[in-house]
Amino acid sequence: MAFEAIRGQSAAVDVLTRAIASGRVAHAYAFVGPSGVGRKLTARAFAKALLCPSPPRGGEDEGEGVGVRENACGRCRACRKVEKGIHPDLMLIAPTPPATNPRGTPAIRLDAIRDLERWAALRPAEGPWKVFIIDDAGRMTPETPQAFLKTLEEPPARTVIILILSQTRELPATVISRCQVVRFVPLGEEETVALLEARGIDGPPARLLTRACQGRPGLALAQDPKTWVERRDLALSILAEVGAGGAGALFKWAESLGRDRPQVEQLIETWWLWFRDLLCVKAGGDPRLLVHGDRQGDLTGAADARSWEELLAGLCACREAWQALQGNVSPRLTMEVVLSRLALRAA
Amino acid sequence: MSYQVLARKWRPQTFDAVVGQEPITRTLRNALATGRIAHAYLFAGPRGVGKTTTARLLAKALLCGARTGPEPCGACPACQELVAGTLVDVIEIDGASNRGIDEIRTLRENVRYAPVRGRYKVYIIDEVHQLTDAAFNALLKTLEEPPAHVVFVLATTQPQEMPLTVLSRCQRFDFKPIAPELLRTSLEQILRAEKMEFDPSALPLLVRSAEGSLRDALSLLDTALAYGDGRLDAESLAHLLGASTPAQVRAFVQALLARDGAVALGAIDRAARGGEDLVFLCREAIEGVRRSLLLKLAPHLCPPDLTAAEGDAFRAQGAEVSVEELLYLLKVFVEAEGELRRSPHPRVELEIAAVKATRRPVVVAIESVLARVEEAEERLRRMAVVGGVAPTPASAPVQESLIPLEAGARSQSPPASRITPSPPPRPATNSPGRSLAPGAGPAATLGQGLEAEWRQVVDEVMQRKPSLGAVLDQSTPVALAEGTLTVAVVGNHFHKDLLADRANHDLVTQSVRRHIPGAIRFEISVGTGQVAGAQGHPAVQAALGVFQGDVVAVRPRTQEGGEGQ
Repeated sequence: MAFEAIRGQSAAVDVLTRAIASGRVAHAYAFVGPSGVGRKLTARAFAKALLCPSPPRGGEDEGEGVGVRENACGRCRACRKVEKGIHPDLMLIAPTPPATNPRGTPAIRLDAIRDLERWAALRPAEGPWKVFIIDDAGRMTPETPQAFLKTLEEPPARTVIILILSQTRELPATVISRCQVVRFVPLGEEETVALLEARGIDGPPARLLTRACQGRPGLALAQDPKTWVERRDLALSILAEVGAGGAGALFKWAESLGRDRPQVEQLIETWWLWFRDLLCVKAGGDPRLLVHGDRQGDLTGAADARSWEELLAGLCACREAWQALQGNVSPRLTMEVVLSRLALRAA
Repeated sequence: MSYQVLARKWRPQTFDAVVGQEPITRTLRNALATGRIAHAYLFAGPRGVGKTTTARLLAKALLCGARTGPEPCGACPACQELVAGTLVDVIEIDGASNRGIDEIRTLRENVRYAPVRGRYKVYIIDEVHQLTDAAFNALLKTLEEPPAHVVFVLATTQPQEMPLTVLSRCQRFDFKPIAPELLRTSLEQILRAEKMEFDPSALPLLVRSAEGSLRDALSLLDTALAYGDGRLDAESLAHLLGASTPAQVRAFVQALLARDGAVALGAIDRAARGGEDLVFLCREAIEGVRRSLLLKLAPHLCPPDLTAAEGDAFRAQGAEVSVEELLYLLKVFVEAEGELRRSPHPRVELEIAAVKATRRPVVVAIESVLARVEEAEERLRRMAVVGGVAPTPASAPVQESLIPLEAGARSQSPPASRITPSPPPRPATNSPGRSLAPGAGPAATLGQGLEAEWRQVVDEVMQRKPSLGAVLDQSTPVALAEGTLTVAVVGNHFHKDLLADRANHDLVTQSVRRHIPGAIRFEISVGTGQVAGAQGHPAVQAALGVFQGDVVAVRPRTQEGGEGQ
């Protein structure tokens, strides 16, 4: 996996390749961006480029926009080791459950950072650098970032630490201030569609899924597009049915689906985006902004039928329902409440 | 040697080079010059403003063998070893990794040993607030009276989390965020010294996103230089920050102010596609609206971080809308910022805020409402004059309308007066004199005396039963005839019911008997007759027309000349 395989992150890739080219490789980077856009992929490519002892000079890759001198060859022993994840100078740290309870919440703990510090104190075993990738760095236990500060500010020579996180505010400002922040952006629609098509997902579902995942192909790839569309349609038909059939239909659906927390989550998510689309239509937004672009006729009709206040109240209802689910409220109750507020227009 | 980031390379090596902490460096320099070195210092302040740097400088100055003034020489072996980080007499640890009581015990053991090289041993404990309570307590003795050769420097970003017992043992220095102008000049100096090309218009953006932290600014500068191939320009910096350029933010705010929902939603979409942190856009929008508001209220102000052209743009933006609208926008976006942080769909939250802002209600200042009311009043007065009615027109019909009631009251009174067991104390003089003849200008004969006596009644009832007193407070005595006091009560049926209640009625009657000579019974009048009478008056009708109101109650004219409503 080298830099040219990374789609839609030209700014991030440019920062990194230029840093290698000009010799300005910083000791700490924070890769910040939504999940599913290629942060980890880029971190690996960066590590590979740093660790590759024989970067190719000139070659067929030139057209990709990535300078060849700072890319990995992809063929040498070091590159192959990085790909297999067995390079001794590359350490990947990810959240783990607590040692005492394998089913506990995964987090990055003090021990992991102490480990990192121990390894960082050693000279690189094979390559010119030691690279540490900390995945999901936002999930550190509260005291961990503090213990990390000294190392992060002035690590031993030839050390590169990469933190992967989705928003800078996930970590204290004291940590972020010590890193060079590299931003990752959601992919454009066409890029995502192309990526999905390359994986054999194409046609209308691919486009719909692209819109729904909002430029995060990683999320789209994790779903089966057909099931996703079916579930979307189900959510919308429930909304319509309860609107027409009243409380009876509401309790019927809540009875049949209310036990399945992930499904209720997805229903609420769909309704949420649906109401957002309605708001968008009513405000006269560009049709390309719509998530449920294939249902534009329905959207226009429904948007006309509702007042602004109803739409805003609906969005508020969805948000509260989502918060309720996060707070471990029974999914069935949540579904009943949110449906009654959305479809029956209860206050 | 591998590349060193700017923040490390440019770490100040003299007190003079520390940016923006003049009071602190000056105090320390004076302390060094006079030899009044405390044994424990606490450096508190936000990240990247120079706490650790100053701590190291202090250590360096204390250990420097060749120091003559307050500044370390930078050339002697001690200074050089310290820069290289190999000096054993400076022990720099972080509170988070050494937070337990065991680490502190080890530290206490080691404190006793004399320094290897110089006269001092300096312990720098960074992020000291991470120590556990037990560790803090174990440190107290040592911190208060350490051996003569030991100086502690504690540094923390969160002094409020430290025990007071520790705080009171240290000399405390609060580091301030670095002022934007100072940040800017030091960035310029560094860029010049590094011989980097730079675009001066990029600096304000850099300074603003650094939020007063020099290290943040330098980290950002480093990234921007790596991205721009050794050149700093505004566009690539904005791209790096994931930020909308100021012009784009202004366009967004402009669309909001112009109530253009489609453009505003488009701007959010563009920001989201660009991978921008929407919280940033929200915050910038708040900042934009805030500035417009500021410049609207204080047009001659020129904020230091704005160019003249930007200032004019904000001023023009604010000129088109009212202060209330700007305040409404601020409120909507400040709320949205909070939601944005928690919501899984930050984009939707921002869109909601944008739609709310573009569909903001027409806010009308209370002043203009009052002005309109005054205008209406003025018109009313003019109409009344034109109609040829007396200056206080409402009073006449009101009083007239009372007459039938009085008549009714009197017609019932004779049988009641028969059962009066004993005459009131002063019957002969009062009763006839005070009673009202049907035709004789009704309220006119009601002397001030009756009003005052009624006031006493009200006060007494108020003391015994405040709810009832409150109702009576709104009433006026209108007639006293043949032992019956008639009182006009302003209010609705609820008030009437309250007074009709047996117990309440008795209470008032007793009080009336006590205070008003000649009154034995007590009656109230809340009549629709009054209302009907009032409604007929041309002035009242004009008022009804202007205010779109109804006649709710009729209040007899008081001293100030109240008007029928």
